[in-house]
Order: sequence, then C-alpha cells, then structure tokens
Amino acid sequence: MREGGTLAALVLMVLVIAAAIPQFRQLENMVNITRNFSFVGIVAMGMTLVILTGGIDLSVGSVWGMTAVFTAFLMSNGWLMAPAILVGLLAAAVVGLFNGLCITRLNMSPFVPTLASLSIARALALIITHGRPISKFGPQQTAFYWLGGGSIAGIPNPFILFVVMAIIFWVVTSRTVWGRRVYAVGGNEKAARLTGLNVRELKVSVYIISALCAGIAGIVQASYLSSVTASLATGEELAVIAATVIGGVNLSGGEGTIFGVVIGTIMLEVLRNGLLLFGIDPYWQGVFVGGIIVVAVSLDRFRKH
Amino acid sequence: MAAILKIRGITKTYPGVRALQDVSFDVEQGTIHAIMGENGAGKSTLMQIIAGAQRPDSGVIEFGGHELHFANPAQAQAAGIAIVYQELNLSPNLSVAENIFLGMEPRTARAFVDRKRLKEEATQILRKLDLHFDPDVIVGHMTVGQQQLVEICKSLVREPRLLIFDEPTSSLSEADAKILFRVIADLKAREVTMLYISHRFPEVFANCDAVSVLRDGKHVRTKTMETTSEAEVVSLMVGRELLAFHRKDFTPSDEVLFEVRSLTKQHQYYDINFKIHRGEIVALAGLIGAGRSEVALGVFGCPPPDKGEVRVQDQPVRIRRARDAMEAGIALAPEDRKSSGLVLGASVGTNVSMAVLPKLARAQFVDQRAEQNLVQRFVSRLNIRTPSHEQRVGLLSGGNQQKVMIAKWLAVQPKCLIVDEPTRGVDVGTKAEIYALFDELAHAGIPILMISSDLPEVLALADRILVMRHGRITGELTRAEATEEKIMHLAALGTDNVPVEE
Repeated sequence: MREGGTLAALVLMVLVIAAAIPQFRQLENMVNITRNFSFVGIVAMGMTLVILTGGIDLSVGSVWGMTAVFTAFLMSNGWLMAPAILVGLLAAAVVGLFNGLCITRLNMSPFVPTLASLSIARALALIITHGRPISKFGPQQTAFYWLGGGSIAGIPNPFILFVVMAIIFWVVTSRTVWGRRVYAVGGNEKAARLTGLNVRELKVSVYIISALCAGIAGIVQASYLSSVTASLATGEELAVIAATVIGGVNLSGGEGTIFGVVIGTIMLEVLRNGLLLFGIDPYWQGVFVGGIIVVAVSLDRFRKH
Repeated sequence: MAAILKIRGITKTYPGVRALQDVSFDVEQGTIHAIMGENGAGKSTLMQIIAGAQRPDSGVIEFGGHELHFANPAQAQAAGIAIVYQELNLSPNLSVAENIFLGMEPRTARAFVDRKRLKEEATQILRKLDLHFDPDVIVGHMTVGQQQLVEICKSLVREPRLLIFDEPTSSLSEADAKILFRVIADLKAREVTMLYISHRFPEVFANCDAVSVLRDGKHVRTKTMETTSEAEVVSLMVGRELLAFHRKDFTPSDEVLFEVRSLTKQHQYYDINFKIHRGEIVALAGLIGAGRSEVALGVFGCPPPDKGEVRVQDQPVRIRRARDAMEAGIALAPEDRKSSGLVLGASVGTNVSMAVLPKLARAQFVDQRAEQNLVQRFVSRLNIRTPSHEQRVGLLSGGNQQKVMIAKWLAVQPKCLIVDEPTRGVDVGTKAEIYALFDELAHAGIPILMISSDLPEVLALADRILVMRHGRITGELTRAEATEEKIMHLAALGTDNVPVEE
C-alpha cells in the first residue's frame, strides 16, 4: 500500500508523543484533537478531488468563513436552521460553480478564479457582518449548537461527520465510474477527452463539491464555536492543501487517495497538538508544518524512484 | 581511419532490469554509425551514458583517446559530444535564434543579450545547413519537423565532434527527413562523427556507414553497410528470421460498413469522401501535415467538422464530440499515445478499461471482478508483456504501451476502428503482432482506417490506400497497383494544383 509509509510515520509520531507526555493520552485531549482535525479534514476531501483533476482551490478558507457567516446571519434573523443551512450551502455552491466555469469556459488557470473567489467570498462575509461577531442563532439556537458542539456516544459530532464523509469520498473515488474519471482527467486530460469523458462537466463538479465541503466545515465550526466572525478560517486553505499534500496527493493531478489525505490531516493536527504539549512556542508551528510537507513529499518521490 | 569512440564493457543495471551488459564496440572517426535494436534493447541507455546523462555501473568509454567520466551532460557537451533527443528540448515560447543559443547567448559589454549578433549568428547557422527559417519565429508555432531541425542547429552551436541522433525521423515528414539527411551528409563532410538510432531500415542503409546491433542489452555485432543487408540486421536484432507480413487471402464484400461523405473543416481538410467495406483495411497515407490526423479527429468529433456526414453501417450518425462517436461505435487510437492516448501514470488495467468503464458498472459502481476479467482477457489476447495489471503504463516499452492503447479501444467492441500511426516507435516483433491483429479484426468484420507514414506498413496491410495532400484526397490506389513511389508522388506532388488557403 502506498500510504504505508505515511501511516507508519503517523503511528510513530503518536507513540512518541504519547510516551513523552501523559497529557496527550488523556481522553479529553484525544477528543479535542479529533474535533480539531475534522474541520480541515472535511474541506480536504473536496480539495483532494480538485487536486486529483490537476487543479487547486484557493477559495476554500474564504468559502468556509462565508458560509458560516451566511447561515449564522440568517438564523440570527429568525430563520430556521434547515433553510439557513441550505442557503449557506447554496451560496458556497455558487462560488464553486463560478470557479469551475471560469476554469472550463474561460480557460483560466485554476489559481486565478479561486484566488478571486478567496477575495470575494471573504469580502461578502465582511459586508454582511460589518465586522461584528454573530453569536445569537434565533429560535433553533440549541439544536444548531448540537451540530458541531454535541456528541454521540462520547464521540464529537464533527469527527463523526468527517469519518462519514471520508468513507463516502473513499468509496466514490475508488469504486465509481465518476471517481475513476476524476483520476483519468488529472492523469491525462487530452486522453480523457479522447475517451469521451465530459472533462468540463467533471471539473465544474469537483469545484462545486470542494466549495460545499468548505461550506459544511464552516457551518459545523460555527455551531461548535457558537459564534461567528467574518475572519473565520482565514488562511485555512493552506492547512487544507498541506494536509492533502502530506497525504500523498500529487499536485500535478491523477495521483493520491482519500485514505492518504485522512492520514495527512490527522498528522498535521497531532503535530500541532504535540508541539503545544511539548511547550514549544506556537510561533514555531509553521516551521514544523513546512518541514513535514517537504519531508513527506520527498519521501513520496524517493519511494517512486 | 581511426576509432574515435571506443566503448568497452559497458554495463548498466536498473532495479529489475539489466539495461546494458558488457557492451563493447568501436566507432570510426567521421562516419555515421547506426545503432539498431528492438525497443528495450538498450540503445537509448547507451546513448545517455555516452552523452553524460547516465553513468555506467562498469566499463569505460574512450573518446578521441581520453577516457570519459562525465558527471553531467554539460561536461559531455564541453568535450564535444551532443545529443539530439527524441523528445524535443526546446522552449516553445522562445524564437528560433533564442533557442539555438540558449545558455550561450552572445552578450554585449554590459552583459545584456546582444540581439543583433544573436540573430546574425543564428542566420549563419541556418544558412550553413541551408535551412530557410526566420530566426525570429517562435518555435512553438513551427511543425515538429522544423523544431527537430532547430534542435539540431542548437546542438551545432557547440561545434560537437560527436553528434548523437535518437530516432530523429520518427516524427518527421518525408520532406523534412530529406532535409535532415542533407544536413547529416553535410556534417559528415565536415568530419563530425555521428551515432544514429533509428528503426527505419531504408534511411539507415541510405545514410549510414556502419551499424551496431543491440539485443536485450548486449552488443550482437557491428558491421559496415557494404557487408550486411536489411535482412541480416533484422535477424540480428530479433535473433530470428523476420517473416514478412502477408494478409490472409480474402476478398472484401460490397457491404459498406463505414463511410465519410464530403467531410470539410476550414484550414484543415476539404471534401473528404471514402467508404470502408466489410473485411477491408483502408490506409490514409500522406506527409505530416497533410491533414490525416485531423480527419480522424474530425470523425471522432474532436473537434467536429464544419460539414459532411459520417455513416456507420449505412446509418448516418451525428457526431459533435467524442462521446457521440463512441456511442456510434467508432473507436480512435490516436497518434501520440503518450500525450493523448494513455494515462501514463495509471495502471495497465485502468487504461485498458477506461473507455468501456460505464459498461462495467452497475449504478455507477465499477464491477471490479468484471473489470479484472476484461483486462485479463485483453492482456492475454494482445500478449501485453507486463508484470501485473497494476503496473504503470509509463514503465512499459513503447510496443506494449501501444498494445494497451489498442486494447483500450477493442474493449468497447467497436463497429469501426481508426488507428493513427499504430506502430510508431514500436519494435519489429510487436509490429508483426499488431499487423496480425488488424488482419484478424478486419476478417471479423471491423472496418479499419489506418493512418500511417510507414509506407512498407501501408503496402503490407491496406486493401486500398487513400493519399492526402494539403487537406485533400489526391488519389486512391488499390493494393495491387500501389507502390511506395506512387504513394509518394501523390503525397508530395498531388494531382490537383489548388493550394489550401492559409
């Protein structure tokens, strides 16, 4: 299995930290870790599809924040939870559609429209909140808080959602015709087109899915935090891309698995948590994250040659 | 004459593959020395070692009396060894002159590129080779053949004493190839020694002085051209006598299975008409750039023609994109398997099942057992040599890659098969297998349209030959009346004098 190395590295990391710091082993810390990586993990699912087709989606952090703000804003204005979430996700999907259409119809490099969306979606969130946090969620506030803050049988809801989504994405990418096409398009777009695949439609769909994943993470995180600001998840697109790359997804497309990305996501959070518990100045985190990206990718290269 | 290049006991092993084993031979100064062998025989590896791009595990190479120990290609270039690779190493966005002098641009006193001298010197080199390109043209806008010639100019800047050609004509039209041979003869007159890798016998025998044959990484023999023959070289290459390919005796019926009526696309092809009957293989011959591949892609809807009609089994089909063509039962194995035929990074199995995947699925879920069975069936039917179905296609030899691409399209059980250059860069043994397969398919009632620049192949396989020139069909020859000369005449000179509007 190609993820064997990454998995072994993760296990090793967990064992070392657990042995060194008893606090790491405590149930509360474990629950915290699982909840923390769940948000990035959910978004990384969609990002994986995008990168598998050879693209990139820089807008996920902003869409994450925007969707949270939209949904929170509607609920604070008395909307019920379901329609508010639906409208939030619809807004996210529109951003994804915009990204996809710019890329497939206007032949833009994926970097460009998703960079534009990064800016636009964040601005929309600011326009709506005027920079003020939203912390009241209307008539269904309690139900809404349960979404991200609650748990089932002691397992935090965001983690359950992440696991369910990971299973769905894993099945879709590895077992369905559509999933195989995602790989084919990223592996050789011209060959895919000459094999009768509708490359444009497929690309548009992955950007919509990516935006929806970002939206879902935003709503669940808003619920967990029970308060939303327009700056929610600023810069998180980088964490998402990092998790994907550490998980072995090739940025030039066509290569990588959902399982690998799940490992990459967990690794990123375990690292962060471990550094905190070791008492290392949090400002140093970025250095370690950067290091692990380079190490993971170079090990992957080494394995291939 | 003295040996300028002495290859002594070169061995090179890659994980799992012994690419070269104790290879030794000499190359005489000022000669054109052909290196021949089937795909995977080790020719390219040997050339890369000589050019400093690879290092041997053991053995030495002497060049002009000195042992070579290159750490990289730059050192080899400095020592006077240049290589013209099969894959072009040009920057498509730079001009001819900029490409030729890349990394060696003439400078002004203040370290800026001296554009005037750059152009002058490029013009000089072009003129020396009697090439009539504008040095300011952007390389990306040129044909592959012209780019190849630019590549040669680029290698000449460093005035090499040994020039290595790796399949230089594989993507050249006959006309461009002629220019190349003239350039080569000119270089020979100036005492440049050349190593020439090619699969093409006529050009090797017409241009080279000696030939070294490699087989399975071992040097089989080196002979001068006067003392050998095509038949001998072929038998040295494959280690067995080549059986010339003959179609089974069979008279095609009158039943038209595939027809194209007045297909036209502005600036590409005009008024293309042909029919393929049951049992027939029809070849589309012509020079590179005649519009043959464009017709094939047009039939396949990529992009669709401006006007005209395509009929499959006497039914008109409307084709706007590849999916329509596939639904109508048309299969196209395109020209360049690397860039447009295969997903090189994906497995053999994934590539073979790619086109037929929806049919292997229940409610969007791929039936993996059915897929395995299908892949197994085609791997054994086409005798695809691969360690497993999981092997990346990019790691297979050219011949096996080609088989994977053909398998991919046979898997859809096509009603009509279009193959574009089906044996380019494919070794002799695999060629024969592919020919036998096409023969069998034609018998089984699949009309085949074959685009090929390999004239012996066209003559061996085709029942009828359509020749294209400047986007139009200029003639049709039956198997009985066709000769290489007749085809070339129609392809190069044509019969109508209407030039294509640019």
